[in-house]
Amino acid sequence: MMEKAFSCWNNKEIESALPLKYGDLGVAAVIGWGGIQVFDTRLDIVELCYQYAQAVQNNSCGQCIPCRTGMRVLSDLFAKIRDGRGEERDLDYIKSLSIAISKASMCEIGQSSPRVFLYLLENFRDAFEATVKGGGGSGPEYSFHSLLTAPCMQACPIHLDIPKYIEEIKAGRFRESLDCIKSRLPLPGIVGRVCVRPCESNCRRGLVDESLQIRHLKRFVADYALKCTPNTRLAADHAAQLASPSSLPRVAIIGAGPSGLTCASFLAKKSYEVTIFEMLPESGGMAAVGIPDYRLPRDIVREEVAEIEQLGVKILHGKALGPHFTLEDLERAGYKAVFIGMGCHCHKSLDIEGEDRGYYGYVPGVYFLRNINLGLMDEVPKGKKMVVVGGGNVAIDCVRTAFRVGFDESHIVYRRSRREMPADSVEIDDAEAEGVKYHFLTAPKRIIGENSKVTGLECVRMELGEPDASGRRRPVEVPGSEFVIEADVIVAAIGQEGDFNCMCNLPGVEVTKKGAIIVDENLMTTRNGVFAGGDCVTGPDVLIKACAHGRLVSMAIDEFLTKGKTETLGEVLDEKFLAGLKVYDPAESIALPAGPGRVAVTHEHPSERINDFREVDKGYTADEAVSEASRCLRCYRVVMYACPDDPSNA
Amino acid sequence: MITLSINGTPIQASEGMTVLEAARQEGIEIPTLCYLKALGPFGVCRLCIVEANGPGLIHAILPSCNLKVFEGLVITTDSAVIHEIRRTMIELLLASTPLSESLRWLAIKFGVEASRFTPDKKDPCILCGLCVRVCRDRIGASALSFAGSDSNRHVVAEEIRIDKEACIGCGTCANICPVQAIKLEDMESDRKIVLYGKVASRFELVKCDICGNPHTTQEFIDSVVSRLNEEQKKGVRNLCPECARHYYAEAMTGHFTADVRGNR
Repeated sequence: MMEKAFSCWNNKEIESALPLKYGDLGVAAVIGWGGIQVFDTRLDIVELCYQYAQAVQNNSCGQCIPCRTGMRVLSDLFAKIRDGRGEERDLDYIKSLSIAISKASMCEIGQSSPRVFLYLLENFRDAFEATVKGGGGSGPEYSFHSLLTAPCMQACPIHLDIPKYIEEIKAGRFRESLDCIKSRLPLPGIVGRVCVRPCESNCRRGLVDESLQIRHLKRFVADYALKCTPNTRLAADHAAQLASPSSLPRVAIIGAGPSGLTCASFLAKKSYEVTIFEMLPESGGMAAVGIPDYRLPRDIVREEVAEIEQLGVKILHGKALGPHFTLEDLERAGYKAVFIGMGCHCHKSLDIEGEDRGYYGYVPGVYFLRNINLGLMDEVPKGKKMVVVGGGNVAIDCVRTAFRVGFDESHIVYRRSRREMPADSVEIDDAEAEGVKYHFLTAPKRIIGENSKVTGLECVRMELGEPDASGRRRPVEVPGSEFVIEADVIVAAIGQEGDFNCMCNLPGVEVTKKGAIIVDENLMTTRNGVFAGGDCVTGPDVLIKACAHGRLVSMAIDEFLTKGKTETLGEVLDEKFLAGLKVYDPAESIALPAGPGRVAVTHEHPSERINDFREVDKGYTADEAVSEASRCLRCYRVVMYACPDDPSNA
Repeated sequence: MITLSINGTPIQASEGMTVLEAARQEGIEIPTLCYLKALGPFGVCRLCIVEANGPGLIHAILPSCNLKVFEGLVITTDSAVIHEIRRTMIELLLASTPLSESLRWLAIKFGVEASRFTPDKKDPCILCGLCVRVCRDRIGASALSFAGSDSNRHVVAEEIRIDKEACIGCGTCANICPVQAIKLEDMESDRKIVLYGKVASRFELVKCDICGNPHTTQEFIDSVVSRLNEEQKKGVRNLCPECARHYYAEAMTGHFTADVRGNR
């Protein structure tokens, strides 16, 4: 028992910290890699330490001696003290063990976990001594829950167990690595190519030298499995599953994009009968029609879709919600739950003069990419010079695609500087290597046309002023600096925000002013049994986020159909709780010498690659993948929270 | 060449060397259980930790087996802190693994008379991985592996397992094991590989063509022969090490020692 509540987290002692909550439940105490926070003074601190040491031991990989055997001895010692069998010298043993484990362990589980014991012995030794002398007090009962995370895992929207799959690569067990990824994500080949990789910007190795190339490692195991396991064997694997017709309810999924496919895959694995309704002739959603083949080859998308179909998922093409069927039709056809996973194929207009003239050669970026991806070359405006307006990934995709469909010149117009460009920096460099001309600090003013055809774009120079709400400096026009870039085609790629006009008007499904579908924490819409996720909920967002939604919905639908339950999913609560604890601290200094940095990925030579849609990145070889994986610091972290068993006691 | 300092003495080491290699080259001893030059660093025993100072490092405690040398590195191999941590780890090993010669030697060297700890659960060996690595990287049989736990997916290493089908009975694992957790028991022409006190695989030994003593397994011979080219294969004889020495000595010198000729 402690005299007063206290809080020390990430090296900061906080006076009278606000009590933390897990969902709606008040938390009595939190103990973990960052320190300890005690809000309920009746909680027995020795019991808390014992429970935490046990949890850490359960999460230890057992490879290095200090963590494997040290944590075991440590939790035995805490149990001994808690049970009143403790001796004064046990506290010294705990101290020397905690020092040895935190200083000598191989990875962060051992290094980060016992530090809290040293802090407690330093500052609250009397509380431990009291227990040694008088045994534990008898306060209210608590239950203890532990969570395992890592900076990269927490940053990943779908929370892939990244340290685990990297460890498997390091050990040369590529198949096991892929299994680890697939237990949460059925599209590793797609995500391994185009993910914006929030994990890598939260990688602690980046604080030492350079972050790991996590995305490329994922791609490597996905490709490796594809090479080693032809589709026929996968089919055999699932033959048994296909043979037994499902007795579980039917679920309809609208949209065969990343969220729909992910959801379908997990539901099918739970033996639901799943049908996907897709408006386009091709599966994959934005992954198939929004990303050019040189970044994500169509074969990869088709392979991964085929694998999901082999689980028994039916995909019906050319079926759009609204024009072809309604939610009521689905209900009548016996579907017990519906997931709306529609993408955001809308675009934001440039809002400049000449845009509404209907000139031939003016086209929104998403349409440009979609038509090329669907092979509708007649719909793609022809010419020699292209200008793309925007600084995101779609803009870069368009401007790089230009060369590949016969344009000689390709320009990009962006109103801020290179540093503020939201596109992936690797993509920006690759585009430059291919000969794309950048016009930074330049804004479009007017589309110039002749004979109802685009002939050029009038632009104006900008300079950076005060920072705006996004923290980026606001560009301001330089008066009198207008100039014209000649162009046959102008592509607008300044974002897909704006009205969700493409969303259907669905009875019972409420939407926001902008048209985004309103959902609860479990992603259920205001209409019972209808769930939604991905872009139609978040607005245009990254692919992995859509997959995360798909996975969450698969669990929510399962709960809904088996228990009729609408309680918030445990995973959602875990995620929120961990987010409040700041798993990644960019200011942390790590006592490790810088190594040689990341293993580079081979690229096709720019002059070779710009004439066709062959894949630019060649990916890792097995040796390269293993040596890149060896750079992982394995920053697993364990945290434990205690809640009173009787909430009225809180 | 790179200049670093170990225990106050400036030392020259070539680029790419580890601190452990540089120290051993200078005759400075750092204890290890899982390191062997032929197998490279593994970094699990943690006994080779040293204190490192230098550019970007302040009192960092790092394993010397996979710490590469760099200019300006200042290493202390046996500071008070390091000594204390090592002693704690030796105590942990004494308390949780079967007693062996190498552990007893370490304990004497670091002045550990008895372990303060009494854990309930013990490990079957120290899980240093030397046997796993030598079988995979040098012998090429990959018969040994770390086994995780069936009940806990986080556990990567709980014990060592043998794949009987892949084992060629060469006995390298038994030779390399620092704690004798794997043993080789040869009786007449019967060879047993004993892991954690249980017979893990069994082989019939092949007899030497000269002296007739059983000396190795057919599987081992096949594995060696499979790596030879046709020319080399012509030189293969089925001889025990002792007879082989005499046989090839004769081939080189033209003299055959009497006892071998007698056995023929």
